[in-house]
Amino acid sequence: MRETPLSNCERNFINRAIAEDTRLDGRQLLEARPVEIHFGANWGCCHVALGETKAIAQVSCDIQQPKASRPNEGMLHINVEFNPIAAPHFEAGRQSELAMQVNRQLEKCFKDSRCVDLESLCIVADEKVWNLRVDVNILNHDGNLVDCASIAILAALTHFHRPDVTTTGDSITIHSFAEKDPLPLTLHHYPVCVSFIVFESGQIVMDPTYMEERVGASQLTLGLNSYRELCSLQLCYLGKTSVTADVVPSISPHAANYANKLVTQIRKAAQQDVEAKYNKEDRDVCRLKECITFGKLTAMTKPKLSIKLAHWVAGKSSPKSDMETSDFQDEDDNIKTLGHGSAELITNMSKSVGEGGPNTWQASEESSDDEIEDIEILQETKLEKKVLDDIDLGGDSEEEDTVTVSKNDIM
Amino acid sequence: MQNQLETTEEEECVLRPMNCELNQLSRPDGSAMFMQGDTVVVAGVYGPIEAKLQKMMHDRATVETMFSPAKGPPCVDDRAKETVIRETCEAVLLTALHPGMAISINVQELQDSGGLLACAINAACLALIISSISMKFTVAAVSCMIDRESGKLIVDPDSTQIQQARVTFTYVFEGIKKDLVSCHTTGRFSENELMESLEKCRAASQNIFDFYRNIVEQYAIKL
Repeated sequence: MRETPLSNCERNFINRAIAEDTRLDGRQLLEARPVEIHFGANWGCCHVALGETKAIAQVSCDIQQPKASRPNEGMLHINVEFNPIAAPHFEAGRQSELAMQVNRQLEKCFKDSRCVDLESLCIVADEKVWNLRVDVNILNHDGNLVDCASIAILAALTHFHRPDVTTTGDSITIHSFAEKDPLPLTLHHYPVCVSFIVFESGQIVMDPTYMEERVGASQLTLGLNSYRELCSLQLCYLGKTSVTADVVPSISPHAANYANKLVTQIRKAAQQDVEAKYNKEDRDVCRLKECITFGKLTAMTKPKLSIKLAHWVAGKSSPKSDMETSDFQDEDDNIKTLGHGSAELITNMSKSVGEGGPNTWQASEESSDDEIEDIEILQETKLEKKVLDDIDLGGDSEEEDTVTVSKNDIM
Repeated sequence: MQNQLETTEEEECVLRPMNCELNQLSRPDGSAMFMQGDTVVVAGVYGPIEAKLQKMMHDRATVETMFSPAKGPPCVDDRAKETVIRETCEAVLLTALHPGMAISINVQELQDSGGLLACAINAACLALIISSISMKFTVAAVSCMIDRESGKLIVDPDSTQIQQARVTFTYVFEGIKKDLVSCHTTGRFSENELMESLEKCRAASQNIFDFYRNIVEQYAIKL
């Protein structure tokens, strides 16, 4: 689907509102949306919500041969996927211009600023190094994807632990998490991206929403770390604008303060979760559950369910066992006949499914009605005692269950 | 023999806790974050939307599905999951109501600890319910496995149990007559095992349908 065009009304409205220092969501011009970070049960899995913009990051690692130019350094790959779940105009499996731009911006911020100590990821120089891969999937696009993705990447990298490795001579042993405690990554500094939009009127807005991004005249993204150092800078003219010359100096102190605050929040969240994981009791607790705001009308939880299900007896059962089953269900006389009927159904027990032999499914379709009747009685008697009582078995023959409902059936 | 008889009587099955939030995402027409135990997926549905010209069908809506894994580019296995989800959703939706349009169903894996396909289908069904696209019936997917050593059938296994699996089954049932809609299996198994697991999952699927009903009731009453 193509992106819905923005009407002049909307454009003018937002421009006028911004000129009067008003934002549609009630924020100040230089105010960011709240950030929520949740970690999953795996190392390096994190869900970030920047207002309504949501992303999930997952770090994974494997061992590869290093690049010839850098034989004693590990590798870091950053990949941001713009799936159609985030917005209907994103196309699956195709890198759009926006996706490439965001990918490059994040690479500049994380790879080119050399925040991850890649040398510590070397196992055997020139032969084997760790290859880190960060996958970011955007879940909901409400503007400022770069910031949201950068927070997700930083949080995931801070949280990630790789398996320990020992080298003895030529052999390399990768220890599982049960054998040896995993090791965290070494980060030299913690960069995040902070984005701004400059409007035609010259007003600067921080952390733009989707609407503001579309109306804005130029876009500015700063990559900053907690030491107030600039790691990357991207200035992108979306349309004509009169004032841009003094934009960078005017907002950079504010951006640096915000970046510092953000990094503190990310590191605190990651540290809390890592500590909780080190305490063995709640090692596998999945904190993604906390993404769900319970108490909402559309949210629901159901505790672990223990249910009693009847064991389905196939025709395998010998007449002897049927006699015994009828002992404790003696109110049903039909039970005795089912032994013969169901024994008839499975004629070639020697052959299991998929191992050749004629298809017995069709055969049972053509077989006498009372055979099917028998199976149903069996099921009914077994199902009677269950918690779940409203399963309609009547009228269904067995073959029907296994037919896949295709679209042609309805047309 | 005696031992076998005891198991034929009644067997206890445990379904992992289910958590769900509907319309968590602001962009999709309907979305659901669904958790079964530690398996977490998010599904988002857009539709009916404009179809691409090459995919447009004159008599019904095209169903586009996208399953994206948490790590790495989608592999063959993920494409297979995508196909199962698409074919299940095609059976569920009344596509003839929206000719020339598209319905886009997107599922994102957040965390996999067993029964990912079942969880994805359940999330997609919840997202379809909340997006108020006309459906023929609701569907519920239940996964189960057979243990390699004991041969025991486990309904809704978690990631540690599934490592011991000889066979895994995922069944999708429709909500009216509990007929089978689709089925995905791995490993070798006998006909008996298939039928036994089918019946068990069919019975367990009722819990998921109850869950759907409860969550819809919760907000439908207030409206």
